[in-house]
Amino acid sequence: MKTTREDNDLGSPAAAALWRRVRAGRTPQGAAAPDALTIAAYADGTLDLEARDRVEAWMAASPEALDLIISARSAAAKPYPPAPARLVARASGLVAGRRAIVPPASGGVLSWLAGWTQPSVWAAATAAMLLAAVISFEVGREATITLASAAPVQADDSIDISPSTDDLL
Amino acid sequence: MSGETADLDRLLGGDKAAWDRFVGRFAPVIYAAVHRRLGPAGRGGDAEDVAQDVFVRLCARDFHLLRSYDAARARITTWLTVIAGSAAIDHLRRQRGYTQSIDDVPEASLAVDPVEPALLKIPDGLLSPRQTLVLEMLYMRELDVTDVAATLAIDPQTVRSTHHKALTKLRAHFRDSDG
Repeated sequence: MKTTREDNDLGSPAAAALWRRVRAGRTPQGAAAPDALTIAAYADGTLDLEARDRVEAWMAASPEALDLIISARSAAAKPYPPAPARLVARASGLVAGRRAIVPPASGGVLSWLAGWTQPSVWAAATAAMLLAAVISFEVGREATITLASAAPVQADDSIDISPSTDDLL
Repeated sequence: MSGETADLDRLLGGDKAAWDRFVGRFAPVIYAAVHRRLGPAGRGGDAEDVAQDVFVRLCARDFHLLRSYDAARARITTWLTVIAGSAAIDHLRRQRGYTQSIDDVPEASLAVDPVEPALLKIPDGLLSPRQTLVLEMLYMRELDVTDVAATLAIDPQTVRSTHHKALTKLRAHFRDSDG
């Protein structure tokens, strides 16, 4: 097979034809797929030499792997068009309003104290106090009405202890 | 990276508002990565559902996948692009499992090619992975040297020299095989 300088020229028809025939006859050994973070690190150029070589071996064995890397690299600089509003709404709805900052502790005094860091506990306590205040006010008001409506004490009910004038003479 | 992930701790703590901000910020990234893969395959209509599946995976089991992200290793947009791209590839694989009735296949597709060029076999390891990738991207993906260089994070001159070495190796191998 004669080799001419032109045959090795980048982009030459002969070079393209040669690679296509080689590629069609290849049965590449499947290399283990790296995890997503390693693939992303490769795309961002932060892998060391050895890890980079492993990722490239995987890419060389899998057209889809190469697609992933090409996509990840080219996505970095692009401005993104907006996502469909329905997707945003559906995805947001995956997480309902949950307990917020502090995870529940396991038990004991510390867990009781930890409970007081949660806004929901404060809200419940405030509501309970307000309810107690209202109830107390109403009970007090009822009692006042009851006393005010009771009959006054009669003067005739007292005992006359002064002696009659006849007994004294 | 800190700008992209400032809210992440609050989100992982269960903060609903932080999750909503995350969705608003990264839904375009995820959707674009999914659509980029599904569109050319004629499955662009599935992009929204596949993107939704990505979000389900991210928050499942108390944000298990999202907790695996390490800002020191890669940017979150790159990481999410990889995850979304993988989800799209998995979706296409599942779709390919659907078998088509032979009556639906155009007759032209069933014709036997009259002549096929002889396939060439090379031993494993003749070309390095990088040499293989350079040839693949130049001749099968028809990328230009600049794009190949960007994908492999090397300079264009290295692409050219890698290409030259790979072709020289192949030609030498077949010359030796022919005797």
